[in-house]
Amino acid sequence: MKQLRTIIIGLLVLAMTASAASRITIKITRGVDSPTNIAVVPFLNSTGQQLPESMSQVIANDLELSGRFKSLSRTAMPGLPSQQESIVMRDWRALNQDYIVIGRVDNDNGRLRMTMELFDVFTGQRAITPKTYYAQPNAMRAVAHRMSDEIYEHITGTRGIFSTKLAYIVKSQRGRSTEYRLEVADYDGANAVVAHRTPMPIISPKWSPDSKKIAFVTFDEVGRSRIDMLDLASGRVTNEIQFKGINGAPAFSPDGSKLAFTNSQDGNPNIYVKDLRSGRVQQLTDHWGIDTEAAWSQNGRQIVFTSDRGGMPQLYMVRATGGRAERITFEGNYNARAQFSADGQYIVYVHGKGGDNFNIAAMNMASRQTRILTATTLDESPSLAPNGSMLVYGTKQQGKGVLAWVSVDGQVRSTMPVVDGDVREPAWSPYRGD
Amino acid sequence: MSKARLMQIATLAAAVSLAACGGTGSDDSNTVDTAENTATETVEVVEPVVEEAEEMVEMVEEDMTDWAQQERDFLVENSTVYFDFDQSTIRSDARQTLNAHVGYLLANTGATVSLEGHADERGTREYNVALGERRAQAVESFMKLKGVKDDQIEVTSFGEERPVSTDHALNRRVEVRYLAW
Repeated sequence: MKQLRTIIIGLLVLAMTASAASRITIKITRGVDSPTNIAVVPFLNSTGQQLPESMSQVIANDLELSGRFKSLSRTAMPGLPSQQESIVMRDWRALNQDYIVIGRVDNDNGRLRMTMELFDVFTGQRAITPKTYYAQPNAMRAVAHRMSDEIYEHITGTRGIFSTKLAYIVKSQRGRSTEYRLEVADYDGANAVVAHRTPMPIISPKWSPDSKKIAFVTFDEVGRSRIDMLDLASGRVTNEIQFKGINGAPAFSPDGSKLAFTNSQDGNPNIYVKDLRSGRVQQLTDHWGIDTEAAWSQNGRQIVFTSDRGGMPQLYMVRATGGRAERITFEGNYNARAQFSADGQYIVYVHGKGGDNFNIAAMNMASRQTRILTATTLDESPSLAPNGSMLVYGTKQQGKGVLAWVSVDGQVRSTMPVVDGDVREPAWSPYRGD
Repeated sequence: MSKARLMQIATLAAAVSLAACGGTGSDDSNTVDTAENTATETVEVVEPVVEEAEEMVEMVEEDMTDWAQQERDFLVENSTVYFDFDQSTIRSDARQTLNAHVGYLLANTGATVSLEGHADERGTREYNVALGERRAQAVESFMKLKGVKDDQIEVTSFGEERPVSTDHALNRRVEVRYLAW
């Protein structure tokens, strides 16, 4: 009767060194009003050994962070069932639970076998076809994220982002010198690994659409900027763009064939597009003002960018083939660094009202209505999750750079506590293998 | 006579060491002996004078080296000019500093500088790189108007990545950095 599908998770082996940063916990500062109630029961552990991760805790954490769920605390649970037969649905109904998750972890010839089942408490029926995962203990967290993705997609109808990654920059002191690290971690900041380290500043990391490469901007000792490309599998860094003047703000086209960037070889920053196959470079904008921070629409036909041609930085749109640019922001004296959502329906960007008041805002592209999503100061570098449900951004806490997450409806906010050094410039990865 | 000659040699020595700065010192120093028309002087008199003169030359050269070093030290200590928020206009309080650099670059046409633009932390990082460059370009224009050659100047920008203070006003700056003296 039980239809089992088997999945084996291999650990992505990156040519990287493990970061010294400890596990990052997430504090949710504000939640939705009517979340889905879900009880994630601690998984039965039949291995007889202490496991490195609590599957139920990772899953409950994922679901809560999305802002769509409220998970039942273990102490409030009427029992700890690990199979369908031991679930007394009415007990869970009495606790207003919408869903219950059970599972188990078993030994299987030196690796772990993990199963998860989701039940609709109201109907008492199994909600999704259970899958069995096989993995080494160090991949338990990755398996738990995959299970969260399954649960999230079934209940919300939207693909989950719990198996995606974040790239970000850490600036830290090592003795008397400053070190900049490009790190890659799970979407929640856990399992951070150092992908590249240098004594010179790094900004603007951007994932290639196949999530195999990260383009970033760095500088030499006297401030000459260039765009380098990191190959994640080999850890190798190669130079991609280094013309006269500033070189910055890389942005891959959605199909990965082109890279938009900023260069000032003619004396002022304009937007250029490099064809990554032929190496050919074309100039997209030509204006005496500062044009920078290009971002592609998901269909690759439009580019939104920042320009101060009107006096202060504002957002403009231009066809990716060139032409006249149209200004799209009019509220506030500073609107910059936009990114399109995957469905193309909205953009998120940095919105400034003067002084230190910089927040993350979203604009509906059809109605041009805007909404401010964050409430701290000096908020910057918004990066959307590939399903568009939430974004990560950089902000300041006690004078230090930290990452923060907010749902795109502005309802749920959470921050990553201060770790070793200043954390900034987060970039949310695309779905792997898309 | 010997006193007058000493004065003469001292003056020449100064010229020699000045010329030495330009890299053509050895030719001029040969002309010192041939230009002198004092063959009738006794050896006993000439020798101590020559010794003294050599000491003078060394002394003057040392002074010149010190002076050049002092000028460089001054330029390094006064290498930063500041800007107003979101502005790239040269402030009046920056002119004296910039004029000192212009003076050096005009006198030393082999010297090159990078003009490193910087911004405070407000606003986006990429826009601030552009803003830093615009400030460095303002300094470049100022220097070129005063005759500094194009190939002596390179414009770069660190944006907001290299703050020197928590005070925004001190971070909005251009640093004149010598790539070659």
